[in-house]
Amino acid sequence: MNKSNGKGGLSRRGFLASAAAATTALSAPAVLAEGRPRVVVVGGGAGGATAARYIAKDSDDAVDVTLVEPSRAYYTCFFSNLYIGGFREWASLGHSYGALAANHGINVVHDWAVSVDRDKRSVGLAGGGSLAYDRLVLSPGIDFRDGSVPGWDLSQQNRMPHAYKAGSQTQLLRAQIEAMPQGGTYCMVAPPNPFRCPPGPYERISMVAHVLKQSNPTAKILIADPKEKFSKQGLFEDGWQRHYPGMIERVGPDFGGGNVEVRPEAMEVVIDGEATKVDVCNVIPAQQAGRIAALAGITDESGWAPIVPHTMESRADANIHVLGDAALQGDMPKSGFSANSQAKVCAMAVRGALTGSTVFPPRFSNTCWSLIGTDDGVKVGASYEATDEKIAKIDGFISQTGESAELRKATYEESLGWYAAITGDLFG
Amino acid sequence: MAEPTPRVKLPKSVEAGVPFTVKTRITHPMHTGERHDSDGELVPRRIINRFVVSYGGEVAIAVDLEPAVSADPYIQFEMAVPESGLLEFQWVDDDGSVYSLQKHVDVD
Repeated sequence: MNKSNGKGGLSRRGFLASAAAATTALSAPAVLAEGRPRVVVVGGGAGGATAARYIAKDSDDAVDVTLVEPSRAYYTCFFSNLYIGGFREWASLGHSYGALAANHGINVVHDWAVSVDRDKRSVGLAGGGSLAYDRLVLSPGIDFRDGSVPGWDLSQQNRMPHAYKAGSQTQLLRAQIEAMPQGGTYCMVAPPNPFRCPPGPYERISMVAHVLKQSNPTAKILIADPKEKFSKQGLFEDGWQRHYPGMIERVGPDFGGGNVEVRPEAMEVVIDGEATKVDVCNVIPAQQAGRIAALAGITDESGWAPIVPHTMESRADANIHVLGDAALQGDMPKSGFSANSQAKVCAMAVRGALTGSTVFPPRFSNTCWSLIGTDDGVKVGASYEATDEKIAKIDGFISQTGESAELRKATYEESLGWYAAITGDLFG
Repeated sequence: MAEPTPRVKLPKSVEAGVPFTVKTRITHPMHTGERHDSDGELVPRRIINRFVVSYGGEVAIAVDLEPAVSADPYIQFEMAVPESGLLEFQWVDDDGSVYSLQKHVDVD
């Protein structure tokens, strides 16, 4: 309310204050007068592709959208474990950006974003040149933290693959598993929280066990894990016992699983001072937001980028939005589903800011499906709302142990339907 | 099946005569003999039926395990020793195999 002079009219001070507020309110749409507002989206995964597509599609060409993504074909990290388990063909995980350009008029630039000038509002590209923006959407996914697993760095990723960004790493890991000697050992060094796809390492263990049970039944699977607990633990452990009895050993912090070093040259894993020779070593290091988020100066000491839940705007810069794995947002797990859900909230907020379109209160949702064995699917999920502090969980659901084979099969088939739907939503 | 892997966790060092915690676990499916596999065939009983810990050649603790014990049996106990010495752990399988592990206890 403006302050009144007590005679029913506005005081001089009150009038000035309200005039200043009106000017501020008008300044955003004034961008329109300078031409189409420009949105640059960095990262063409579940967050970035969704944001680019929804901003372009729903603004009816009123917004100029550029998507910066180095890969010409995008291989989804979600479902890549199923490729390792032999349930998916590699080609089925690949998607092109052709339809985003052809059907929605998005400028798709295959390059690396290497800098952000927040004052000039422009993004620098590795190939030279820069892209000016009115709003920037960063959806860069994850990078690994240097030094989190002593003995491992990116230069060792061919001897000890992470396979935690889908692509040649995934194919390499599967080839190494297939080449294991009879009775050999596959070891996973699991990551500390928080990390991309909380059930992902354990679904991968299930898929590796599925392959080895058929081709190499005396092989061993060893997990060195710094965490006390993990996602869907009861469901996975029940499934491992039913499908792969005696094959999988998880060494948690109670037996030194948090004190791990690797020796890539010797193919050894040292757990709590004791060296074990292994045949495959899948090191999934500790994680942080994709590098461009730190280069833009919007990450905090956690390594992730804090956001305003209502709009997915960075808390450090209202002209930048952060989506998906890179965002420090609250209760949502880092998943493709979450990124897709957050991107729709972001797209609505960006259109509202740039074109004046209606912005509704956000609702978020997520489901993570995991495959434990053939037709044995489980899921965990929840819905979320925006509070001032964080994206907060409202209610959730999780599969139960002892469910019928029919229900587990239906859950797996539901995940196949979801994959078709979300990839259509991203790239269609 | 894969060869069972025994594991033992001791404190880095202990004091003479002061109890400390010993954690042990072995990977083992602990087939009860009552369950059926996915083809409907009865899975024959195969469990770890005995667990023995010796200190300096003397039995410190011995445990008889029954089919109701879960897979990957985890056994934790407290013990005290008068001086540094060797602990020997043995797990006895129904098929006659014995899996063993030795750990040195260092007294400050």
